Parts: sequence; structure tokens; C-alpha cells
Amino acid sequence: MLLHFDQRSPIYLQVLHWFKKRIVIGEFKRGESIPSRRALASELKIHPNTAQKVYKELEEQRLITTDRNVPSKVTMDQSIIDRARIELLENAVKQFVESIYAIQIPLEEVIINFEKEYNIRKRSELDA
Amino acid sequence: MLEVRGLRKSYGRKKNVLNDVSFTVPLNQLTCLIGLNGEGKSTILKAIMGLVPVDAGTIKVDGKTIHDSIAFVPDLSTMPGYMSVGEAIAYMRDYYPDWNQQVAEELMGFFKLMATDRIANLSKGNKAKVNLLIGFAMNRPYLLLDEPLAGIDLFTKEQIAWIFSSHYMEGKGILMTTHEIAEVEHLIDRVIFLQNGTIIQEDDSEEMRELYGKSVQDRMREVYQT
Amino acid sequence: MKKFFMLSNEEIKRSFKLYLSILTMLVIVELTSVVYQVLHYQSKLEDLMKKERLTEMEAVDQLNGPLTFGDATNYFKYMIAIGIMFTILYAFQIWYRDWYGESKYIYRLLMLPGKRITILLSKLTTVLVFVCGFMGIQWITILISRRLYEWLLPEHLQAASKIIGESAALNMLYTFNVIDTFVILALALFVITMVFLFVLTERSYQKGKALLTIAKDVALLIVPFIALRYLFDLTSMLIPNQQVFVYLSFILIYFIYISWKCVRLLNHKVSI
Repeated sequence: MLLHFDQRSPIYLQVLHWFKKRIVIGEFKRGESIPSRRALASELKIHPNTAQKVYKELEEQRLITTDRNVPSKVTMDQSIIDRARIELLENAVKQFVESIYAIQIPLEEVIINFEKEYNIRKRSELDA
Repeated sequence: MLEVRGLRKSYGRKKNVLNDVSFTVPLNQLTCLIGLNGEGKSTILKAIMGLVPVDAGTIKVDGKTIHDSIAFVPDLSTMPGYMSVGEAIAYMRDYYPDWNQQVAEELMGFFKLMATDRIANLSKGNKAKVNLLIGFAMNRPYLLLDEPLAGIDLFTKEQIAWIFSSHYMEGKGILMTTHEIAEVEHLIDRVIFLQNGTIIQEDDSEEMRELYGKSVQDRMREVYQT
Repeated sequence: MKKFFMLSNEEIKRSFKLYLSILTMLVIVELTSVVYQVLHYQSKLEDLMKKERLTEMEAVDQLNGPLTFGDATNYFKYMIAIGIMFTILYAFQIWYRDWYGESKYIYRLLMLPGKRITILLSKLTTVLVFVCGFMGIQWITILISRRLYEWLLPEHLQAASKIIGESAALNMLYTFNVIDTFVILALALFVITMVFLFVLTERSYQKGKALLTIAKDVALLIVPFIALRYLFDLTSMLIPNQQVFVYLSFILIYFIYISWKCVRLLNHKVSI
């Protein structure tokens, strides 16, 4: 796993986002243990205190739970994961709309092109 | 907290090599001293260690003048060439009461150093690794790293940079000088910019990204090109 | 104390091979020179006897008498001069090596836990140990040379001399007397400390200021010395023994001053 960081946005937010994505797509499953902070730091080549900050944030958003002396686990609560999923969707759409809006293309045209591109992407994944 | 207050130094006719330099290095953070070449970055580290005398200034750790809580990792070979890596480690261990032999042995493994290799025969990168290993094995809360990645080939650089994301960093207050920021940009917590022996800017790197959408390099350009 | 022994041990280890090879070289030259002198004398003697048809007695007379042991060890003084030169060079090298050598060991030395004076003491001890070694080896060499001389030269050609012939300087150096040995070591200590002072001054200040400081320290030694001599010459207040006492006291005070200065420079002024 190698993350190419955008040096212009906070590193811990990028790692947080990356982590949420893993949970939402089920790479880290409900109730499953996740890598330790140390393992995460050396895997992503980030400072251990950044990893610490990310885990703390994930705990605050209740996406992971940490008990004493046991590796942290992904939450069992599906509704929290669903909420994260919606948040990711909203963020992605917001970004997308930002860039579309900037070049002033009508919604209908956007939707047609969107569906076309989405299907090409999906097919290429199935082929692979 | 390592506190540097009012460092001043002139070298003969070269006035103000350091001109009232004050800053702090907190624990559990990586603070980076940035400057173009010859801005006195190294001199600051050496002054903290008492390796160059200063005209004025104080260095304190948690309010006390202590020297045994800081380890310095210079950017040139410092162990006698006739020693082997293993001998150099054994030698240093005998002098430092808090020496952590486990760290020394682990790092020797991670850095792929052979105990029997003569220091004189090591590459520049491997000599840098020996210095770094000794610095971490001293087991002191503060570490000063002088250009840890300068002039080292790519693969060795990766091996060395690995330590910055390892658990050996945990809890440590690290002050590092560099003029090539790119490799370590995402690891740095705080940046101190130096020019003509004076601190001209201090930034929290995550804050800079969050509030201004600027990378450390962007900031560096701004600071030095105006 | 542990640090002192460790540092001294390391310093000795670092230079031991070089030291041993220089020492061996000097001893070989010395022993060879004795053999050469004896054989040369004998061949000259034979030549004279053959060419000038002289009796052995007459030939010996022509060669200014029998070969004394002092004549046989004529080269020793040069070897000793070389030894002293090497010692002084080494007193410089033992410091500069750590600054200018392939590895900048001075970083490690200056950062070691504990007092920096230990570094100074260990280097001083190392040079003195080497000086003692040199003296010891010279003693042994002179004894071997004596045996060689007695063995190679027919008894009637040997001059009845003390162990070392006439040279006063050699007698002083090859003394088996405790006080003389002590004086030589004290002298060595003084010279080495002086060299250390030069090095540490040079490492502490910019070129111009360093030269000035060194000149001042040398003047502090020489000027009072000359002044004392004049004073003693002009007036006759003190008998010679008392004069020697005054000189020695002065040197002792000066030695304390330069030692103190070395420590102060090492603690607060040296720069890497």
C-alpha cells in the first residue's frame, strides 16, 4: 500500500479518508481487527503521531473501537458505517459538481456523459 | 521541551552567523530547520551540543541546563575507521549509561549493516546509518539530526527515511536540518525557516495545509523568494 | 576514572602499530651502527697495519686510541633526536587526527558524557606512556650494544669506559638514576603540554588571533626567564642553588598556567 500524498492538504485527513474508504468497501470488515498504529505508520510511511491522530479521529467518529490491550476493531454498528459511506459519497459529488460547474455544462449533458463513463469503467473492471 | 534562547555567534569577521535565534523543540514531534546552504543550520545544532562556542544564549531542557538528554547525529563519519560496526557499537555502549543495546541490534538488522564491516570501508549512506543507530541507541529524549539524507543514494535514503515512520520516533523530540525537503515533507510537524542567521518564519505544517492549502515547499518558495 | 582508562586504552591502541614500527626502526639503526663502528674501526686498523707497516699499538695510537664505547654509540644521539622529534609530532597528530582524519572522531570525544578534561589527560598519558616505552627500549638497546661491543671487539682494543662513554647528554638520557628519569619525564610532560596548548589555541581562535595568543604565551615563558637571568647576573643576591630553585618555581607556575589554559580552552573555546 503506497499513498501518494497531496502535500497541499493535511496528511492526517488524507490518511483518515483512505481508512474510511477501506471500511466502507469492506476491506476492513465489521468487527474485524485493524492494523496497529505502528504498523499503519510504517506501512504508509507517516510519522507515528499522525497515525495516532487518525486513530483518535476514527474513534471519535466511532468507526473503530479500542479496548485496553487488544488491537482496535472496526465498529459492529452498520449504521455508523453507512453514515461514513454517505459522507464519502457526498464529498465526492461535491468535488465533482465543483469541477463541472466551473466549466458550465448543463446537468442533462453531464448525466448522459456520467452514465457512459461509469459504464465503461465498470466494464473494464469486469473484464479485468 | 528543549528550549533554545537568544543564540548569538560571530566567527571573526563574519558577524551574526547566528543572530538571536530562539525556538523550542517539543517532545513527540519532528521539527525541521530549513534554510538555504550556509544559513547556520548546522551551527545551531552544534551550538546546542556545545561543539561550537556561542557568544550568547541558553539551552535548556524542561527548564534545566542538562546535556545528557540530547543526542546529536552529525552528517559525517565520526567513528574511527579501523573499528568494525560491531566494535563501534560496543565502544559507544560502554560510555553511555542509558544505552539501549536492543535498539542498536534491531537497527543494525533494519539497516542491513554487518557487525564485521570496517567503518572505513562503508559507503557514505552506511556511515550515516551507523551515526543514526548510535543516536537512537543512546536512548535520549531529544535527537538532533544534521542533514540525515544529504548526498545519499536513493535506496539507502529509503532505508534511512524508514526510521521516521517507525516506532523509534515515538515520544522523541526531533530537530532536523535539511535543504532537501521533498523526501520528508509529509513527516514534518513543524518548520522553522532560517535566513542570515535569523529565524524568519515558523509554521505548523498541517495547519499550513489545512488553513492555506500550502505545502511546505510552497511556503519555502514564498519565504525565500520575497 | 573508567572513562579515562577506556580513552587511554583506545588512544594507545590506535597508534601502537605505528609506534612499534618507528621504535623497531630506531633500534635496528642503532644496533647496526654499533656493529658498523666496531667493524669499521677494525678494518681501518688492519689497513694501517698493512699499508704503513705499523704494529697494532702504533696503529691504535694513530687512530687516537682504542675505540671507546662512546665512539661506538656515536649515532645514538641522532636517533634520540629523531625520537624526540617523533614525540613532538605525535603530540600534534594525536589531536589533529581527530579533526582532520577520515573520520571526525572529535565529535564523539567532545560529546562523551562526563568532563572533557579526561580527553586531555588520556591523550597526555598516551604520549607519556610512549615516551616511557621509548626510554625503556633505549636502556635495553644500550645494554645490548655494550654486549655487542664487548663481543665483537678484542678486549685489548676496548677502552675502559663507563657504560656510555663521555657524552654528557647521553649519560643523562641513559641514566639508571631515578631522579634523572623523573627530570626527563617532567621535561617531556612540559613540552607535550606546551604542544597541546598550541593545538587547542589554534582550534579555538581564528588564525590571526590564534597566532597572537600563542606568541603571547611563549613570551610569558621566555621574557621572565631572560629577566631572571639578567637579574641574577647583575646582582648577586642568590647563590646558584637558590637561583635554580627560583627558575624551577617559575617553570612550575608557568606549567600550572598552561595546564589550566588547556583545560579552559577544551571546555569552553574549541570549535569543530
